[in-house]
Amino acid sequence: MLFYLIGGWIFTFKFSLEDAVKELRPQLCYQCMKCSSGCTAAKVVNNYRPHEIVALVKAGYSDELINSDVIWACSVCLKCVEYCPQRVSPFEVVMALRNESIARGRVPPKSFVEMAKSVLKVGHIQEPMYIMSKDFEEVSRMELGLPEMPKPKDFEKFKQHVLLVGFEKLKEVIRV
Amino acid sequence: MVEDEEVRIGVYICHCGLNIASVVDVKKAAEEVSKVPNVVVAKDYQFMCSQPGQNIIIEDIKQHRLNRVVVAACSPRMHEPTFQKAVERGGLNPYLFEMANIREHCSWVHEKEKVAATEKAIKLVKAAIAKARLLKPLKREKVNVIPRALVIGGGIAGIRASLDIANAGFEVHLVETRPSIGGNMARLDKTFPTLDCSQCILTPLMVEVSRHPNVTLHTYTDVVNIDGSVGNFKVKLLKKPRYVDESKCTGCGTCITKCPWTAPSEFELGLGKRKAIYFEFPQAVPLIPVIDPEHCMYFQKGTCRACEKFCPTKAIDFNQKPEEIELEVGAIILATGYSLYDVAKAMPEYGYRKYKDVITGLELERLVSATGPTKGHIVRPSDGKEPKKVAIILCVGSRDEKHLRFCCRFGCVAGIKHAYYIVSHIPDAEVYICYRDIRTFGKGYEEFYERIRNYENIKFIRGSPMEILQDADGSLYFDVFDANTNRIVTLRPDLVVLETGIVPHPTFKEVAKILKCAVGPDGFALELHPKLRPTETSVDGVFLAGAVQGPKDIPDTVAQAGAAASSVIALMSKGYVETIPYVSSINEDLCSGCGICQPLCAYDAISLVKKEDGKQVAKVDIGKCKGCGVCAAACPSGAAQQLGFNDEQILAMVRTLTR
Amino acid sequence: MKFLLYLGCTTATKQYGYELSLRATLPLLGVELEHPKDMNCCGVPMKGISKFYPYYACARIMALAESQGLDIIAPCNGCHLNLTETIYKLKLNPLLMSAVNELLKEEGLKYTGKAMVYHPVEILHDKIGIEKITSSIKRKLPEIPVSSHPGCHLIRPTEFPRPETRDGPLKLDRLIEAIGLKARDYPEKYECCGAAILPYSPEAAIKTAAFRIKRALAVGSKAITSLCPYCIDMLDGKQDAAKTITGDQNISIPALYYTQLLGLALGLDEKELGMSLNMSPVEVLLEEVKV
Repeated sequence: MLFYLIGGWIFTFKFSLEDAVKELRPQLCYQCMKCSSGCTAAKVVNNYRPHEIVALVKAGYSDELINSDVIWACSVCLKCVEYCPQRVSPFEVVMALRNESIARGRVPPKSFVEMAKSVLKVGHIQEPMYIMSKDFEEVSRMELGLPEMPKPKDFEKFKQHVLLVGFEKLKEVIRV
Repeated sequence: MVEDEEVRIGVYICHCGLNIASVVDVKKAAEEVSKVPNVVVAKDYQFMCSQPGQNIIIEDIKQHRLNRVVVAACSPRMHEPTFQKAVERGGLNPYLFEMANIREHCSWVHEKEKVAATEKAIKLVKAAIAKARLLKPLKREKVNVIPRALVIGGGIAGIRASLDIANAGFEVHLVETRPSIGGNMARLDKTFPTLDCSQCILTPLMVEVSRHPNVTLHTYTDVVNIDGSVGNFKVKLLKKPRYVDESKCTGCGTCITKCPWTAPSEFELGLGKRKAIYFEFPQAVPLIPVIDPEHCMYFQKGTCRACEKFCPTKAIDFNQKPEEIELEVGAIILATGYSLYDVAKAMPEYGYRKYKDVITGLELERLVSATGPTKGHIVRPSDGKEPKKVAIILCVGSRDEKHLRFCCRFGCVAGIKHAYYIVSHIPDAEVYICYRDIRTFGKGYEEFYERIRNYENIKFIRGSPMEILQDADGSLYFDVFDANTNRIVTLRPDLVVLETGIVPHPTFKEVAKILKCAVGPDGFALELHPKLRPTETSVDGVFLAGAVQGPKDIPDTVAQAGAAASSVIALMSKGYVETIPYVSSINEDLCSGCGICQPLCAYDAISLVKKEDGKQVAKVDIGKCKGCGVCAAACPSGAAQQLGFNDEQILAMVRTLTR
Repeated sequence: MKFLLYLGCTTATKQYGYELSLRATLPLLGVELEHPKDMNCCGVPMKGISKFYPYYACARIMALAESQGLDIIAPCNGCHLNLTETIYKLKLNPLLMSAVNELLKEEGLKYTGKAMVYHPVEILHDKIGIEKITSSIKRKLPEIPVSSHPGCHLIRPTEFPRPETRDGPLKLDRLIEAIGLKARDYPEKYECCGAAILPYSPEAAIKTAAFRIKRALAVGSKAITSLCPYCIDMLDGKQDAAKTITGDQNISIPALYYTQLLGLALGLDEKELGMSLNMSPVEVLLEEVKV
């Protein structure tokens, strides 16, 4: 783990659930249910309920969530951030749980693994695809006359940094 | 006189139960300070503020011929007057007393460092002793109280307070910015938990206050300025022109019938219309109409004059001008009340004002009222149809860090009452109450809640919706997570009622600015003490009644109005107030008349005067001076000194603390 | 006006219609677009993997823009929010700012906070302006009702300045009216397209998109338009899947980028605007537009 001394402070790119919870203050939640009433994912994913996630974290049952895939269902619509009357932000709580599950070496749902692999390979969540047009032609960027999609110039350095800011554990687990 | 005498100090260290004694070694502190020069006795005691505690001081003054007393205990805010009175009973001038705060400033904040806390406590007491040595007797001045009160705001709080003061035999001037008194309570149909008719219990009081020989009513009038201090306030009012001569008008209403122009009614919250000349509502007091120049064709285009033509008593007077009224009063009650939080602007997600069928609880009151725009029929504003499915949403804007942090204190019971309105008017209607917590704390409220829970067609959903949407066919729908049944419920109500949070009425902000009285972070008036002095403000002689101090239901409002009135009555029955002696005093020999202090004084207490010998000096009006000490701090020559806190005394404390 | 076109992954790897229409329309309105030589993912979908990656990734993108002395156009709502959030969070947290710069230093980059980020809706509405657009178009499109789907991140969270707000008329709606079309409101206009649920459950995500399409159809809209590659990917590309999953065969509405509509008004050819790449029945709209 690399650390930086900045103005007498030590800084590391290390995630800690404890710090995140301290910052997000889920204990202020009084269960008004606004988040679960408006949640995009809750309407289509059976057991995804932001208010319950906040309550579980508040009551000390974070482990149950970290070991479950349900935290990966959030649609990032940020409505809960916008309308939470207590500024608790269930979205951020869910992101903190995801981060913690990665830090503990859990493997996220496949598509997330694919995206992470791609970031470590080309610097983007996916590579340019061939797209089927209405005339049943498969076309690429080049065929459409679009310039090439650039990669990070010093790719090795970039990759090293991506690992440093939080991809290290995931890389070990998914063996890229 | 005391000055020539040998200084003999008694020091008393209070345990405050265990509040101080569990941290500070009080025995050791007493022993340490007993060694200080001039200290004749030094004792510790469990509760110095108790009767026996005070008696120790009184006994010691006599026995040890003490001429200064120091008590080390809590903050002087609460008990300084207690001990000053004790010292006075012992035969000394009450200002030969000094207090050291070793609770808030020491034991409470240094719980974990007992040794250091004891040292700090000893230092604080020694500093108080150093000051006590230099104390001089001070005198309170008596100021007569004008036996006349001003009540600002003509809602239930202002009416009740005015009546109480008037019934005690004192003169009252009641000021209301709207054309009629009555306030928000006049808009209600029924009052919880008894469901008695709001108008039936309010209008008799409105009439009584208007007919009371001791009450002068100033409706359609604003407060422009207030000067002076407790006992002697000089008030300037501005009476807005009604364009109707009050002495001639009989309130027959012919003018209103004949007026061809209409405008949205303020009283009906825009749900109904009124004429350009109008009564606020049928039971308005006084029953004198007002012309609204914005909608009157005569004012806009110079034609019409229908009202003038048909008025049987020739009371219409288009030339009426705003009228200034000056008053002198001894005390003021603020009863400016509340307005609803602006949900239309602050919470667009609920679509209030965007969708016609989303209304506030207060608007529902008007729809239910027999004198309201629909003559008491509950209908949807969009199409005039009877709603069969109604959703009531509680805590709209309240208990929300992004909007109003506080609980509105009547939304829950009002919502429950509103559900009752719906099912009693439309028996086959279904009502859904979306709540977070149901707070039914008042007397009889829980019983009322239980009664309403018994209705099969009133359903309680424990959850708040995030937003209200409108479908293509104009119908409203929203999802709400119900924690009771653990599922998302989709509701398609015909009508949505928002129980919105409340904010202080906008007039309060202006009055607070004029009076310089303290305002809390929530925008409501700040009382002097949340529990023990809930009706007093930071300005002596200015009292609070009702929602101006914070959200309140009617019983609490009326209770506080009575309390505020009795404070005013007490002040007037006594007939005088004693000024605080800690005022600024100018040493005219030292004063160079530079005038630096004058603009700094926040209370306009300092003026520059020419003495007989032609020398210009500053002069303090002790009636206005609050003893803030700004002039003393700014005075370059040391001529301005705050009595009881002069430079010498403060520096003696500083020297002791830094030794 | 010259900007660095930071496409982001979704636009650059599959939503070619957006890129083509941006590159075709903006220069006609006086906006010069610079293609970056170095580019990385903004980190939005990776927020759950690492809290810090998006800060590093976005600071890197902005440092690249700073090195060229340009401001950024970020056509994706996700990228735009993430870049804006990074600007704010780093400004508030000098420690994080310094640490990120320690990394960038090794790549010969430095982020100071100078570069600004714009969304195409801001470029079109605030920089170019409705007036210039109305005077530049070759022909007004017919007054057919079109629904805008601004997308979550264009309006939320209000904690950071967002290009659009839900309490007033949308800039996107004004732009729609500027080229002659009729902006039609529909419920759930400010809701989510569901794209971010795709990696967890494609079925759930597509159901979400289907809700939105049904609502737009219910108010009689002839098309849905947006300026977010995620939204159009869902609303345009997933209509067939939505039919299968919901069993509702009526799910069929042209969904396309506003820049494609703008291109038609500017007299550009549908091919240039990449409209053959839209999966939804845009030809139905083209028929109505071609008068």
